[in-house]
Amino acid sequence: MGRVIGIDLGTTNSCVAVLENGQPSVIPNSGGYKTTPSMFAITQDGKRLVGHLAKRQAITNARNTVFAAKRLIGRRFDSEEVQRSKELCAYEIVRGPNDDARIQIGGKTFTCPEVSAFILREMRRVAEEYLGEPVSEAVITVPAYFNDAQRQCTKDAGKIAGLEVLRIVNEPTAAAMAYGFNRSGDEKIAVYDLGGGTFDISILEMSEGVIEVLATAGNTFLGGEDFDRRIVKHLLGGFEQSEGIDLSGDAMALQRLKDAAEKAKCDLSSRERVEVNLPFIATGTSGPLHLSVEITRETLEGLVEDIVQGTLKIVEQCMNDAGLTREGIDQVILVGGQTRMPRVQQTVAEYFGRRPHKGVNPDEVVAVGAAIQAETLVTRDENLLLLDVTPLSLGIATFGGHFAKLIERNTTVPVAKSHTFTTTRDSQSAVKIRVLQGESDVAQENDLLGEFVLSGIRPARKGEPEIEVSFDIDANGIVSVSARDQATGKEQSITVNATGTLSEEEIQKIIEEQELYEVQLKE
Amino acid sequence: MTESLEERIARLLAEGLELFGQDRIDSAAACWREVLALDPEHREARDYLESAGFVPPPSGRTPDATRELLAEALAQAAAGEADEAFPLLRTAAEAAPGDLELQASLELVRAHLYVSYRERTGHGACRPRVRVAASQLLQFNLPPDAGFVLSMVDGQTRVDELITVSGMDPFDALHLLFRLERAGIVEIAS
Repeated sequence: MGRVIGIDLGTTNSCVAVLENGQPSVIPNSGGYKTTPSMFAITQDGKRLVGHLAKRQAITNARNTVFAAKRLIGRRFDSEEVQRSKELCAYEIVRGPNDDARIQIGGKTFTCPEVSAFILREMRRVAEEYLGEPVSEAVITVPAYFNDAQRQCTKDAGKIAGLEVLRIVNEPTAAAMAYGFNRSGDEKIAVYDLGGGTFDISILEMSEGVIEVLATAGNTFLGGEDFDRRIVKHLLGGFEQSEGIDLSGDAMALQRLKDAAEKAKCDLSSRERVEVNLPFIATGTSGPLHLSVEITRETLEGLVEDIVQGTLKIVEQCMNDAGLTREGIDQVILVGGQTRMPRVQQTVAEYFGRRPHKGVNPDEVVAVGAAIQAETLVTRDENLLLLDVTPLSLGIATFGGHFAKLIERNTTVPVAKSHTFTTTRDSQSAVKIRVLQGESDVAQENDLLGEFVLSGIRPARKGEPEIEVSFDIDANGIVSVSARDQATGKEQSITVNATGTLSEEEIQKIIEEQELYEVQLKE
Repeated sequence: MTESLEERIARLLAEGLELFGQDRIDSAAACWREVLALDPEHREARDYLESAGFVPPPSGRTPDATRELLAEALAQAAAGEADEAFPLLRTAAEAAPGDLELQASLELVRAHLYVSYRERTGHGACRPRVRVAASQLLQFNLPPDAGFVLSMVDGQTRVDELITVSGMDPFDALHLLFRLERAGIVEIAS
């Protein structure tokens, strides 16, 4: 049997880990970096770039560089998040034939699982290079807020990348596994995950080797890149003030500014002040112009304080959902590179009234947890049983446009619930069931998970037939629905059309296309 | 960001002075002649040429100025200094876009240079590194696109990767890289 890897497929950066001799090990890429940017690009001459190279030309080739595909995967094109992404991204986001969001770059249209597959394939390659053997199985993590379609699409992405996805695990849950590895005791843990592009907060309970997620919440448009943008804006403003030149329309200058801003942000986590030096950034009437600015930690904190405080509002919501006060939290775990910032750590510590645990590396902890889970699945280790919750309520649309919840959010998974439905007209021979995920009482305000038609109902007066519909959420958080006619005991035929996911034929076609491209590259 | 005419002239004047300071008199003169190709009445360029012991071309924008630039460029190319010849040719070609001989010469030198650059970078495998300290960089006179290429030189990135992420025409990126090498700013190791 081959090695099983754990992959943190992040919005901004991805990370891969494996267990070696029972100990988790994060795998560095060929450049020595333990994280790889989750970016994919096509250059003007048709070259495909993934990771660090894609990131280095993300601004000069913005229209053909995809970032944060994770915000689009599994979502309908008309969803609020996709429409917001359209405003923020230079690359083209278009409607797919399944009403899903697709990405157009380099003259080609890609599905979101396809784009994520480029990243996963790169992580697989990194692992194979390090381990010196093929890798075909993985555990992949997703934000706790992901719904069924997003999780299924992430599995599809793994498949396209040549990986059998053994489990989809929530990121904060994976982090808790890394923290709880070889530890004992009963504790309630807050996992504050501030990554490059998303923010998640989860409240977990660890007891005798069992991890149960009590509540989770987040914001898919809040992360470290927002911090970078504030610094870039600060630098642009200062340069315009001193030199009278607006660099915001200069792609080359912006690329350098973005890279410098991110570096300055990271350096300010360990230093009080840094110099940003960008020689020959522009030309003036008297010759070359240089950008040379000192940024202090205090300045940076002033630029981003509202962002940091904004995360606490989400934390408050999650605490309410869990039915806990701050005093009920035993440990606080920080996850995501942005939590290295002292002000973030201080803010979190002040809120919870305790210092966050620093024993785990925030950049790598999710991948480590995924690797532990991978090993648990392969060895069938019952000592660390993982329980998770569904982040969104599940139900159906009922007469009058209402939403009837059948499984409340934050219910432990796996879970199965049934409900009996009936007809609304005499001699009605079929019913259409629309399965939704969300929290609104109005059906159309929730996400359509899928819909099916149950046909062949015996002629009867309205209200008489009893159709038992069962909803099942598996350990991956993926939903399946079945139906049974109680009168006859027969399983009636149903058709579930999940929106936004790929068919087997589509997945196979994509795999063949990508393999063909790989052959062409080697020639 | 493309240079304006004024910016280009300012840069060429300064470059010529740098080269003059390095005793590269012919190359310095080439820069100042390029200025005169752009602005035949430019007094400073004329003064510099005279100070260096050269005879400036006659005043007024005449086709002869362009031909002289071409002749200078071809002479440099023949002497194996295609790097120096190219910018002269480019300036002359821009001044006379209908001159087919000029355009052909430009393309010939460009093609020759591209092959030479590729060979000298190990066909893209070399990993250039910066030779001067950051504080010393400011003494040079570079346009923003050279600054951009320089920002990607880190001793780790291969030349072919540098070209890819620059988004620039491969020849332009290489030409800038070798310009940085000639100035002693970077080292293109094999």
